[in-house]
Amino acid sequence: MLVGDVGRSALFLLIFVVPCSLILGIGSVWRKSLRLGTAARWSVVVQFALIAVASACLIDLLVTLNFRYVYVADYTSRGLELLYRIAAFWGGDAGSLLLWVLVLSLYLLVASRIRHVHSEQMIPAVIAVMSFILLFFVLVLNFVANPFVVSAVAPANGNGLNALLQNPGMTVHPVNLYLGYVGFTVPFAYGMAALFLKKTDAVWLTVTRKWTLISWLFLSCGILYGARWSYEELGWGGYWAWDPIENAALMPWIAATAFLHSAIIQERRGQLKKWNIVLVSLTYLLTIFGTALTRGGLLWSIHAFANGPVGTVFMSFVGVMFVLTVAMIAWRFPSLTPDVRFEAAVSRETGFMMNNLLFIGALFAVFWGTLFPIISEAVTGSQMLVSGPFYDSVVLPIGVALVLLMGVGPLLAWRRSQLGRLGAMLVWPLIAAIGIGVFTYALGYHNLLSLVSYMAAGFTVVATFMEFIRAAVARKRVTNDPPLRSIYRLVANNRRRYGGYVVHMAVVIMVLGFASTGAYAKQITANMAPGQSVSVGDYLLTFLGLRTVDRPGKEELQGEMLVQTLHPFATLGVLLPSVDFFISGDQPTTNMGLYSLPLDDLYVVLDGSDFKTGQSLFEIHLNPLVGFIWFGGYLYVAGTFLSLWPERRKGRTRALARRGREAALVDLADLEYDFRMGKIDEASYQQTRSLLAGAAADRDPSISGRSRLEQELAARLAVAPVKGES
Amino acid sequence: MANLRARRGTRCWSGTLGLLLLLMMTTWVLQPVPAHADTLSQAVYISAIEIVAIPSKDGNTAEIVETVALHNGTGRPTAFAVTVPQGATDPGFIAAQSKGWFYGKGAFVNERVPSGNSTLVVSMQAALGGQSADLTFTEPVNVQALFLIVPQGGLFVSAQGGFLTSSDTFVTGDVTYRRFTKFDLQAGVPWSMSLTLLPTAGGRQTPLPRHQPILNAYSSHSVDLEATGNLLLAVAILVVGMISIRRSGVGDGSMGREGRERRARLLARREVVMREWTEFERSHVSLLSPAADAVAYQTSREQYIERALAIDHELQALDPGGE
Repeated sequence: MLVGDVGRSALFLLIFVVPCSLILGIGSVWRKSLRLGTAARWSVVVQFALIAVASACLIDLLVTLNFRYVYVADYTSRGLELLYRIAAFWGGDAGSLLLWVLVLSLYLLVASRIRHVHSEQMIPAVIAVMSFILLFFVLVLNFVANPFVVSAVAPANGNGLNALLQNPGMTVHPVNLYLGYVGFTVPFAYGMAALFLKKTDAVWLTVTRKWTLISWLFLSCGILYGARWSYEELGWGGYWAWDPIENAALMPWIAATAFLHSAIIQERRGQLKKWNIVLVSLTYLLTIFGTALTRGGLLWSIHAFANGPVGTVFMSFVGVMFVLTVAMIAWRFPSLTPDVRFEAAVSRETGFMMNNLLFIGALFAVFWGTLFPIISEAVTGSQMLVSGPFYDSVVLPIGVALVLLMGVGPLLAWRRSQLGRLGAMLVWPLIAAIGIGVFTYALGYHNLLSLVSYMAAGFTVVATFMEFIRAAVARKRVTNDPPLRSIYRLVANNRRRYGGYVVHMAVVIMVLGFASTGAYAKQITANMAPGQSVSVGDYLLTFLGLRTVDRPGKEELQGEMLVQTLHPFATLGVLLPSVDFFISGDQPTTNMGLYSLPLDDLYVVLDGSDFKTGQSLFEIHLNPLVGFIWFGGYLYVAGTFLSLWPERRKGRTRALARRGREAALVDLADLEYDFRMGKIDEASYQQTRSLLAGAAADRDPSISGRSRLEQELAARLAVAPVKGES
Repeated sequence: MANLRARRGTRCWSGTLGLLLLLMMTTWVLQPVPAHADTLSQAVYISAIEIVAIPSKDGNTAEIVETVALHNGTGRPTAFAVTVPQGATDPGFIAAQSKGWFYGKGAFVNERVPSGNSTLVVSMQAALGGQSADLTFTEPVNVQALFLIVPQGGLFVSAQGGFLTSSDTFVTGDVTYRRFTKFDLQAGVPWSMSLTLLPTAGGRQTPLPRHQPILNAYSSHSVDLEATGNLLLAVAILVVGMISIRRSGVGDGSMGREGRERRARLLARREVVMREWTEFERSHVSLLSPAADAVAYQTSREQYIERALAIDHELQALDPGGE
């Protein structure tokens, strides 16, 4: 009993420790006290230690199968593999909440220990915001879903983990999703802290950029692992069904992607301040909303494994956070004025704006489609489900437009693009797109959306590739380095830009996979007796018969299917789609037989068998280019890694100091890049250069120290005297 | 004074520690005390039930033979009833070591079960209409062990909560049987299980072509490898991300403890100067409390600026990366 007691006590103590952090954080901000700030930092360490102890205790109970604890009895059983005993940690409401709290406290610990000169004053406020959020979870864990509840009588065996959850996806999908979901709390907390402290310049964005990137990467990986799990486990031949639970993860991803792009504008140009704070808040609120959908059973879903009171509590929390966030933004709205206005209708800034509009359009469509059953039930009394065709008709065209924009965006110059030069740079990508369109049409691929997708993909690949080549050539011209060294230095010195381009290429590859499987997948259903054959595409499949195999805790019924190719005729081997019958009495599950090649997947499902006739029903799918989605996923991770890779210490200051003179110098560097890439002509370059050089000189610290002090004084005089200031 | 403060601090910490211990003890005390499971206290109990189920050739029914091993520890003949599982039909008596069993109201009853060990063997059927049949056991006394034996690949047994031990197989003649074991069936508590007909029981099989590779992309080995790889990838993202965030920090990371403390002191001094200056400016512009004349105002103002600039320069020297 000792381990469980320690875990429960640790959770209980958090009820007192977390409010302490909250109060210390607020006190430090209010009194501008460094000592209180230090105390708040240490209280965060205590929080993390307690949560880590509780988590370790729960894992111990799960691994040792201590069925006295209701949670252990509900999600494990004798015979369950060690990996899944550990995975049962997040198999139910209480455990997954504890995982959420563990990740949140870890992030809070890291955020509170890493100090930036410009953002140090924000950290107590960040601790306060995150502790407030943590307090909600701690209360839920203690009073609504406690994983350390003891049953009166210990059962001899547990119920076991749901059979569908006994998949390797269970080990990575939820963990990645949670690491992503929870990660967005940090930029949100910084955003709120920046609002509260009226520090609405780009510092909070620069400090949290990597937090956002990490969270976004985890969320992306979580979604991709989920798609793959669904593809392997559910046996319907697809990876995405626009299910509410899938959409719940997609919505914060869309908002976060828009935020990642719009943050660049504020960092570079001091624009879109209001928009960024709204987007980061929206992203955070959507993560909580998504969890409420997943856990609450508000909507029917094939993925919903929990249906308890947690969803209602979460939904209430979404409401509270929404009201608080809106109030905070409204309070500080006047301080969110942009530093400069847009200078031209066609520029890199407007390209990013367009990107954001498209993302928000897609987000609204997914949000509306997901909530429509609830809305329709409230209005008409019956739930009307929104199915795949709605999303396909709205979201997919937006997706194609975004792919096109990925090609055009990098060709746009900051401040003002010259249409003539832009047009000249678009010629070859357009020729490539038209060529691909004609070629694929001639090959017999006539589906309009997929055809446009292929063309957009070709356009973007060529545009990005040419942009890269131009940069490498320009660099070589300046430095006279050998070509390979020139390319290496180019990428190494601009990891953020080229990491982004690699991610764009990964998305293009994935779009090819989505477009091909959506339009050209083949599916047949065949009732076959042993010895009968059926052909799909270039494959001939012959049913050989059934056999059973003993597995721990289950019996596997396998259908043996001989696979041969018709042109040329050759035998490839045997596929073994199967059905698992579980001793625990869980519903039988299907395991597809999958033969995966770079260009297509042969996917066979054993749907059922007739004892009397000896016939078995098979569902056979031929899915083209599915492998592109998974390969694109790994490339996506690689690109984000490139952007994320730690900077050398000597280069740190450049990454952060984006204000004043440094910002003017960064603007000059951008201008230089655009000029050398041929995006602007010499006259425009010289004119803007003289302006920026003047600004940089004006902001020289040796000159401007006095004026900056006077500006700070003016700002202090503008606000009413605060308590304790006199 | 310092001693008093130190004593207060110690008292505060010991008080906090005491409160934490009290809270931990409270949680221990408040936890529910679980009741002990019922033990085998009856004078007559069932030491084992063995059920052998074989599917009929047409697959419509499962033929079931139930063997019940009894123990009467009273030292004298005692009345006893063995219930037939719900879901079974046509129960028929086959053999018994003690005579006098008769069937009625869903149970085999004997008014004089002899002292010591005895057995009862009963045959029955379960309909496999939808390819599976559910049987529910509710015995009036504890059953130490329940064994379910089915032909391998013919029938499959599943039960809510599974079984205490993993199943085992044995061969009799040319048939392989699979045995499932359930320990400690509690008196009066219903326990259900399902018999599922497996299609291989009646299916014809073509021999698997020899030397043909298995094409399944996801063998258990590759799945484990991929899961491990993906977990490692998540860890790598976390580690690289945290290093990246740490590297993006400016100042304190490389400044050292002394530098941090010095900077904190400078920032505090700067804050004081700025507050004083702000107050001074407020009092100057206020009509209610006019400050000094214009020359004195300019002099004081310059002094504030000089003090703040000096601190800024010190901060700049301490951390050249910062603004």
